[in-house]
Amino acid sequence: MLWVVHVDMDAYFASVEQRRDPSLQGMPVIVGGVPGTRSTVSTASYEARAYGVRSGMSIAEAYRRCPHGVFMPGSTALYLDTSRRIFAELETFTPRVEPASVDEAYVEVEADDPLDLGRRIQSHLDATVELSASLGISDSKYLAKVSSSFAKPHGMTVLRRCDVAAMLWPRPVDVLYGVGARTTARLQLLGLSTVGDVACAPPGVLERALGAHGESLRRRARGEDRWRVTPPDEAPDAKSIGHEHTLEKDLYEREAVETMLRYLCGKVGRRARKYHVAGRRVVLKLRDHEFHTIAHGRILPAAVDHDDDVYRIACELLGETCFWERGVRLVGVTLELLVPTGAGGQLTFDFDPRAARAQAVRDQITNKYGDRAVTPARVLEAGDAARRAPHVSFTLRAEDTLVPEPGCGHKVQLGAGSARTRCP
Amino acid sequence: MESIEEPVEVLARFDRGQLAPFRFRWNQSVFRIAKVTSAWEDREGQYRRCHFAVLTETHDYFELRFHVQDFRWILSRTSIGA
Repeated sequence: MLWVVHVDMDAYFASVEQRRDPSLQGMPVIVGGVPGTRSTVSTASYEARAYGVRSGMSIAEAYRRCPHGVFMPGSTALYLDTSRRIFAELETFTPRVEPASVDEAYVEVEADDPLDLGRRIQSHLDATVELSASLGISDSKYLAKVSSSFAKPHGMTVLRRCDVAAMLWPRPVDVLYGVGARTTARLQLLGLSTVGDVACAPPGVLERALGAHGESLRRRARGEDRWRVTPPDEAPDAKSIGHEHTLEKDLYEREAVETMLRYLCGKVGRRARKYHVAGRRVVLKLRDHEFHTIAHGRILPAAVDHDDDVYRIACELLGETCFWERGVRLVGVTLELLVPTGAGGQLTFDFDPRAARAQAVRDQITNKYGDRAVTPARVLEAGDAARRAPHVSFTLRAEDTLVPEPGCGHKVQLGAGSARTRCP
Repeated sequence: MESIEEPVEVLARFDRGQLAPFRFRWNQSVFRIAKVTSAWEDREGQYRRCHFAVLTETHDYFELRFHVQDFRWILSRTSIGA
């Protein structure tokens, strides 16, 4: 029989930190930031959860609840590398592995006994990557996802479609994927508190309360889903490219928010060019100190992938919101409606070949020396970015090029013919 | 955890595409690696760097970083003195 196994690593970031430094085993480890910063908790170890520390909580609140905890900012490279190793180990069971996030994957595998399969996967991960995982096993991808949280940590649940009424319906409605606090509150107002209540709700009730989401919620509550395990080589291309950043302090000045936008638009543009796509919609996301969040976007006549274009549009969107007056806590920029770039692209009337060449040179430098090699002076002066320690700051012009230099790597050759700045 | 960022001499084994440090010298002392607890890679621009979190036979924790570009080893962090 074909089974879908949802592999969910237990307290992933914290477990990776405890594996890296075994002296942290048994201690309350909180990954996300250190006290005194405005970060949020990415993951808390089970020892920290005993003190009420939860993912998404502010570090300040986590510190109040667990002042003796070990707080750490986290190491993205370590988590991503470990994640790749986990997925590689899962591929020893089957090539049909779909990474769902850095610490989750779906595995589609043929087996006679699902419990034996689950035990083999868990013990293999214990032995190879030395990390604990909880498993949800089902003949449905959605039910596998839902059931993996039933027995954590290092647990395993088998939930077949035919067992939904007995095993899933008595549970509270928020065990369903996609049902958060707001939806739960709305459902409770309707007297629907368990999954079974939702599955058996009279026709029209869910639709009136939740719109189109209502019908899909009813299907999920009945264990009906259209999800399929999709390994990366079968997955459709990305639908959007975005970056967001939670600020160290609220920003009340438009210029300060624009500086952050400059930084984020550079990251978005660079990723778009890396994947040879451009976006026809730019969306600005802003959050104030009371966690009110807005997303404001615009569809463009022509797709953009240039940092300056994305930045210009993002600034216009910002100007339309006047959101900085409320104090900005989080800024995000997303490029959507992606189209492939390259040969045959439509040129606009204001196309500037010099700016495009300058952008290409900037990309060359960044690809060679890293994200911090070229930073707009405005971002550098902002202080927050300065702590990211850019190697060098200078202005590039369209006629500047990157020239190989023996023993040094490369230097920037200015259009006028003399080298002004040397890269590290 | 204390940040060190000092060059160190490391004895390591390169075997079938794998790199494994097993001894290093720092502060006039030789440390024998009992276990590599984590290994990961990142990049600075086009240059690859290999990181190793290690426990020594004296149960001290160190992080070593190997720069593929120029075969340099850096001791980046340790729990000694922290």
